[in-house]
Order: sequence, then C-alpha cells, then structure tokens
Amino acid sequence: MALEKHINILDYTLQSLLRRKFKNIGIIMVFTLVIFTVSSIIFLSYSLRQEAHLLLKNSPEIVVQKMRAGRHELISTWLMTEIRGIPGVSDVEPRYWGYYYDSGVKANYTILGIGASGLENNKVVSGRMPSPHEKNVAAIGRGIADVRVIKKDLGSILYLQAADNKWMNFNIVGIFESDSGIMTADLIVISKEDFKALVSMPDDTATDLAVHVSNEAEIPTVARKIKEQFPDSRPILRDEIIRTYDAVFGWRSGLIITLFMGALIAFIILAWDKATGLSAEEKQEIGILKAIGWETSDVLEMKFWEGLVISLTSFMCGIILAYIHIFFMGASLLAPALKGWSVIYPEFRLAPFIDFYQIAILMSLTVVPYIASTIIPSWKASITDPDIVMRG
Amino acid sequence: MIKTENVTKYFNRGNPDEVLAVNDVSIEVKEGDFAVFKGPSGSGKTTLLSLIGCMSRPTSGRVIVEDRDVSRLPERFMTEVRRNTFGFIFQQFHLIKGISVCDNVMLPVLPTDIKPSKLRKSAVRILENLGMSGRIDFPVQKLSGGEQQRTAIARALINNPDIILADEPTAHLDTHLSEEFLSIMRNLQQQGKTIVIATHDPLVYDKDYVSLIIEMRDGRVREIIRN
Repeated sequence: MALEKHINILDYTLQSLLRRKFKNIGIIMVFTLVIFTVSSIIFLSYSLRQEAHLLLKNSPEIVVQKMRAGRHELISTWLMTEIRGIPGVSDVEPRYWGYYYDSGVKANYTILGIGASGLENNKVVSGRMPSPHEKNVAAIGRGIADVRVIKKDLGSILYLQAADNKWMNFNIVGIFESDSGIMTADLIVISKEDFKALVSMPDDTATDLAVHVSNEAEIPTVARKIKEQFPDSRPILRDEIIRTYDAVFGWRSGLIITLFMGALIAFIILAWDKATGLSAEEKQEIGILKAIGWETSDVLEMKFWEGLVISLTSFMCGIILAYIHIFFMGASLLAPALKGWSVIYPEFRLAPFIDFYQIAILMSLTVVPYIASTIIPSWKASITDPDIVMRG
Repeated sequence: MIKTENVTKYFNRGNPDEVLAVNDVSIEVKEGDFAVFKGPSGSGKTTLLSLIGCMSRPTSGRVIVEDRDVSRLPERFMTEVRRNTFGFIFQQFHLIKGISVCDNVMLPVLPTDIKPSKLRKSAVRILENLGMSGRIDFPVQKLSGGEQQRTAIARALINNPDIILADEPTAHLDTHLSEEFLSIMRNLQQQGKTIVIATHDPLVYDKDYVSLIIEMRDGRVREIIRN
C-alpha cells in the first residue's frame, strides 16, 4: 500500500520536529501571535459590520434631515404631510434624538425620545420601556449604568441637566441587556415630551423624519423626489448608512493592520530566516538521508510535512485564540481601537460571523509562503550530490 | 561487479579553488571481494568510494555497477541503485542524533511501502546479530563509539545490500573496536557480500583476507595488489 511510505515519512518528520522543539515552538508562538492578531482584527471588524447590517435592517428606508449651511438642524414636522403625498411612501414619522454630554464622567450619551424608532421593541434586562407619554421615566444602556454607578436594581434616579439649566430626574424603569449593547450601551430612552423639555425643542419640530417605503426599488426615486421638493433637506438612504459603517470599520481595521505591519514584517523576516537558513546540521541530515537512499522527492515530502505541521498548527491556534478573544472575551485587546467612539464602550457579545474568504486569503498569505520557504532551501540541498552536502 | 573506466572527478571545476580529486582511474572489484582503497589523506580514495556508491558523478569516464553504467543515470535511478545495491558506513558514522538506535537503522527503508512494524522487526534482528539488543531504543547520541559504529553497520545492512562501502571506518576506534569491526566485515564477506573500504589504517589492509588492495596517491592509482 502506497500510503505506508507517506506515513513513515510523516512519522519521521514529527520526530525531527521534536528534536528541534525549542526552535519550532518559538516559530509556532510567533506565527500564532501574528495569525491571532490579524484574524482578531478581521473577525471583529467583520462581525461589527455584520452586526450593524442586522441592526440597520429594521431602520427606516430613508431618513430626512434638514440642512442649513451644511449643518444638520431641526426639521419642521409639517413636512411629514408633504412627504406622505409622494407616491411610494407608506409612512412618515418624526424622530427625536440627540446627544447629551455628561461632564461628570466625560461621556456622551445618546438620548432618544420614544415613539419613533424600532429600538422601542428591544428587550431590556429588567423592567420595561417608557411609554410615549410617560413622564420622568427612562430606560438606559448598560454602559451608562456602569459609568453612573447606577445599581442594577430598577428604581434608581438618573439626573440630567436640561438646556435651561434645570435638573430633570428620571426614574430608571429598564436597563438594556448586553446583547443589544452595540446600539444601546450609551443610550437613554425617555418619552418624547421629556426629550423636548430636556433639549428645549420647539413643538412643531423633530430631529429628523423616518420615511418608510414599501417597495425597495422605489427608495432612490422617493429620495430624489424629496430632495427636489425640499432642496434644504438631506435624504439619507439606509444603504448609505450601511456603506458608511462598512467604510468606518474597514478603515479602522485597515489602520490597525497597517500599524501591525511592522510586527508582520518582523515575523516574515524571522520566519524566512528560520525556515530558509538551513543549519549545517540540517544540510548534513539531508545529505545523510540522500546518501542512504532517500530520493529528492522523499526529502521534499518530509520538508513539506514539516512546514505544514508548523504553519497549520500556528494558523489553527491563532484562529481559535482569535475566535475565543473576539466572541467569548469581548475583544478585550482590540475593542478600544475598533468599536469605541466615546468613553462608553459598548459591552456586548458579538455574534460569530466569520468571513471565510478573508480567512482563506490569510491562510494563503501565511501558510503557503511558510511551506515554500521551508521547501526551497531543502530542495537546493537535496538536488546537490549527497557527497558534497555531507562534506559541508 | 564494480568497474571504473578512466574515471576523473573535479570539484569546483573552472573556479580558482578547482581540485582534481580522482584522475583517470580504472579499477575492477569482483563479487565477494574484500577490497581496500589505501592511501594518505587527500589521495582521492573517499571520492572514488563516493563515485562507486552513486553519491556523486564523475566529470568524465564511466562507473559500472553490476553491469550497469551508473555514471550518467538520472538522479532518481541513481538513488534507486544507491538504496538497493549499497550499504554505507561513514567515517563520522553520520547517525541522526535525537532519535533512537532502531529509528536510525530503519532510516534507509523508511521511504518504502513496508509497514513500520515490519521495518522495526528487521532492524531489531540486525541489531541483535550485532550484539546491540540492549540498546535498541537507546538515544543514539548516548552510545559509545563502538556502539555507534555497530549502529552504522546495522543501518548499512537494513536493505540487505550486495556491496558494503566503508569510509575510514576505524579512524575513530581503538584497536580492539577496529578488530571487532573488521571481524563483522569479514563475516559479511563470508555471507557473500562485497566489501569495499577506504582507509589508511594498516590494521585493515594488512589482514590476510583482504583480496584486493588499490593504493592511491594524488588522485591516481599507484598500485593494485590482488591476493
């Protein structure tokens, strides 16, 4: 059976690897670290993008903002009637949201006046969402609960300073569960009335308008018509938001990978040096094997197994560690660089999305060159007469 | 059995460090011979041994082993001849450190389709015949010089070759171990194998069972004595 020969060579290869265990363990550790870092970045940025895609699925097809001098400002709610009249529009609703800077903890919160967003359907850890007309109650994100040291028990009071300098107090009736952390970590949901009071928003205005279009194909046409009818408006398509998320996370991961290039290059040099620089002992071993009857193809097969075992072990270890790091440990090492935009970093467990295409590319850029760098010098040594190799 | 016809071997030909190691050598070793290539260091005996053993190719001339011209064979067929015809015993033993005695002995036949259990059985049998039964799974680097020598002999015998080639086999052995080695070689010769030894040790070429002495100097054959 022809398989015996390959098993014998593989068995000898494993023995060879054990003979040089310190060198090989060193290579595996560095190789694993490189794969771990690169695949962590890939896993995290891809999962964040996927997470964003899923969350944005429920967002309105078009968001209409009012622009003045290139800046976003409050939009009049009377536009809703006009927009409803555009063919293809199924519904229009006002959205009330804004940011609140908490100087005490130096963090920005996102405040949402309820009644306009799909977020009201989100589950909470405990308690409930405020109802649209309920005053002085709030549901808050886990991130805010943590920075404001609010107990997990409901009934605590959250104090916010309104635009007129008066303090408003909100009874916490719900805390968002960590699964929704990507969107809710820094979120405070209150009633529309409370929101308007907090930011001193005039009655007939909203932050922006959510426009629902039943037919996906009509979205660009509806957006164009809104723009034509109201030149000072900016219709934002859901797809544009998704693309922005892709660009932001892609840019962030690209930046990290670029910063990491130094380490990557250092590894390539190390791997090249370790793999290609056949020591006198290794050269002599090839000479001995050839002299006692091994063919060049046998030597190359041994070196192939050697490269494959080292690179595949490192690759698998790196991938598994990255998987654990990202999906079970909340990407603790990379999170600040990739997912944060304020001092409140969302604490959430990402759903394990894996881009197999990128993993395949990573594999082809690491495993394949490593095997090649192991085989090529051995091939050079093994095609030389064993007599010359043995003389050194 | 082994013939060389006007064999010449240059190393680094055309370079300033060019060496003419073997110069126009024609010899014949018959089946069952106990042949010795004798001569001082640098006389070309090791190179001649490696040319006969298909470990390198002559620059010119022909090497014929068992009626087959091996000097121009493609690499794959040279390896086949090397594996099936010769058993090598090197001056430095050239054992692979870090693996056991038995694993070293099995090395030449590992890239074959023989089951590992069968390979081990053959290796153990040869080692037992050479008095190494207590050292079968011993790490090779912990062996004494004589034991390393016997391991090298066992490795040379694992493929049951017709010809044993040994390069300065007694160089690192004391008189007692050298005698022991020669008695093993003599024994193998009596079993029908052809022995070819390159040496400058009189202990080897003074033996009365040596059937052929080829004296070399400066790459040329100086004298051929057939007993």
